[in-house]
Amino acid sequence: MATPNDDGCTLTGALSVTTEIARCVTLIHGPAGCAHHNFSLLHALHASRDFALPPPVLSTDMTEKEVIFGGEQMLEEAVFCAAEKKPDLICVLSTCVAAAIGDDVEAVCRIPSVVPVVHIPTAGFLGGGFLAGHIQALISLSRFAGQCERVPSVNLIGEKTLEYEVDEHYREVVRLLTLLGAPVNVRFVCGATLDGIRRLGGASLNILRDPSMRPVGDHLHRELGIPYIDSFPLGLGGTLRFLELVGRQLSLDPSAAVAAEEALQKEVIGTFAPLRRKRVTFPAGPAAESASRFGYELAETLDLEVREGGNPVPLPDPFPVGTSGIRRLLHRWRRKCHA
Amino acid sequence: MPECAGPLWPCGLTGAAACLSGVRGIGVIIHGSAGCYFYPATTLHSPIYCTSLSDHDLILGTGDALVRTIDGVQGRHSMLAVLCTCTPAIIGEDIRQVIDEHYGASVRIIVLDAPGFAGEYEAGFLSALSSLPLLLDVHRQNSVNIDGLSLMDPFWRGNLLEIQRLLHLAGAECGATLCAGAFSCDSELSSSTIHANPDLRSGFGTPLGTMIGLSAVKKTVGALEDRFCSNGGVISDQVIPDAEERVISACDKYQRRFDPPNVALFGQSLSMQAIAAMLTEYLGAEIACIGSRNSPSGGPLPVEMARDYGKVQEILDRERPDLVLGSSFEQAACPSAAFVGVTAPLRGTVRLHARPLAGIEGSLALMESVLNACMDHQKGAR
Repeated sequence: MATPNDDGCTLTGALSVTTEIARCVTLIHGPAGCAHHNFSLLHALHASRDFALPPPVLSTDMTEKEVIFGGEQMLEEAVFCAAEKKPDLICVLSTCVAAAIGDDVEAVCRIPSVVPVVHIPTAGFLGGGFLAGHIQALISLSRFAGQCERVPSVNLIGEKTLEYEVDEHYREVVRLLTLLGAPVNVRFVCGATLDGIRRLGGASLNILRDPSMRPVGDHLHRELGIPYIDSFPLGLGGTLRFLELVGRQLSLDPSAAVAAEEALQKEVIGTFAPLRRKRVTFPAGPAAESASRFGYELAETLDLEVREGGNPVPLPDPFPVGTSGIRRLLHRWRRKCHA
Repeated sequence: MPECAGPLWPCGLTGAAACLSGVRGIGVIIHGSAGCYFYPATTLHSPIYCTSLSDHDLILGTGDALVRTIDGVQGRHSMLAVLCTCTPAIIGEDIRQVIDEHYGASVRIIVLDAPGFAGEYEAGFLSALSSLPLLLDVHRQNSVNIDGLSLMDPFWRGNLLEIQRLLHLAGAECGATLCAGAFSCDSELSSSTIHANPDLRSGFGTPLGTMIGLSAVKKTVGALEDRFCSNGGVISDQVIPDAEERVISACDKYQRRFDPPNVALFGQSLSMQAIAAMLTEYLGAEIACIGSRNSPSGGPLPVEMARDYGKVQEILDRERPDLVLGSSFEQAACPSAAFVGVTAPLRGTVRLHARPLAGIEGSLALMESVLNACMDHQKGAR
């Protein structure tokens, strides 16, 4: 049976990037329905992140007429209209329909404009899934980054902007980096500006959200010569290793930061001592597999018994970031265990 | 080019999926990309399937992907509905033929062309409804169908419960509920129908009236009681007068302190007109504008199209209402006004109980929300 593609639409992946950039207009070349699906989804997620306004998304509102006669003329006019709004950047995203009828979106985007116009090839299923759109958008936008004077700082690459806890994850990474004395240069792309993207080359290290972002990390390494770490910190031991790794990459002594974090972890584990010897069950399924090693690490530290018939506790994938993420997770475990 | 800044209303495909996924026994298969599947799957909260077409299918034909999907789900449902999205429509495959060749009459399968570029949500919903092999049972005289129920509508559950309550009070039984609740693809239709949403009237059965706005409810309940109660009825004699008195009293109290609001309404055309009429009648509200998501189909008040965020903002900037009824898009576009949510989507709030918009309780709930929102807004402005 053909199963639903959990990875989602390429267009959604790209929109999760372009709608984060301040003063960027995203133009979707396709039927209004495609744009609505995504606009509504983004509106929901933005509302849950307390953003007041939905992102600026335009649609060429392609109808049967353009499907039959072609939509390039309509796209050209739409780019012109978008430019009249005087944004810093216009990102043009194509859809399945535009690709199926053979519109040359790239050619239209090359027409000189007063505003930079970037075509991100996102022809729905033709371009791959959500992840492909996410990666494609980041790589396309990185063209604006140039070489600049490098300081000991990091870029955060490929944050999952549609994650409910994206800002909590960011704050945790910043907290850990602050322990090391390492500032964030650019978040690529949460809340970024075009000027910020231009400054990408100023960091000494890129930290990827997770290993799925390696194609972006490799691309930036090739283009800007910046090495990368392939994940935000996950798990108790992983968080300490993250501090050591970042410190080493930035030539900073991590020992004080590691000691402070170890002390915090001991305090957190102590808070949840009533969980000790409780029986828990982790959710089954492929989605939970990647998170399970962090779950078992936590269970061992807390002296929990993982067995069938235990209290079903959540094991989110992606796993919460850092020690603060573990603390929030343990609150949920405690509620499930009635401890 | 008609500029479309932030489209606010779903396409015909979503309308069709909303309709058919509300019918028990039907397995809905979206024949298209995962992107077309994801939105209805997440907003309808109903299990649906997708053929997840890839570029390979586009080149070599989508039939194999469809057959694989049908093979995987047949036997779980008494009927399958294949909704063809934009891409199969563009490449022009004869999906009916593919299905007939593979399955003949062994599986009950409806095939519906529902490309998003070809129509709006309401058209997709009603087209899907008309594709169902429904039978009208002329002998079912003691029950009434309820139509206009859509899983996309945040009020569908409350509307269904409220209209069922009123039918019971009027001495009638509830017939087919199009398309939610216990309605199945093998349900037979009763000979008369009440509209929970005047913008999604099915055309099945003799219409008894609509249930949005207290005036419409009064008329519809009157028709119901004429038909089912030989000596008048408790709803017209007691329930509606009591509800109306409470509304009048609350509005009167409000007007002792505050001026009536200047209101902008956004949503489906006929529903918003009915609500506007109620606000005018009981609260003396000025109707600044009605922005319609669907093509207006008559009605007493002027309506303009407002299907995208840019147009909504333009209208709100022009009218500067102090009360907005609409979706959370309008709430975001006009944070300075009082707001009441009456249109999907309603994001950023927790909604657990079955709140109605239709019927007597729906009218009361709406007036209560309007008065509370207006009072909070007036107090906040001081």
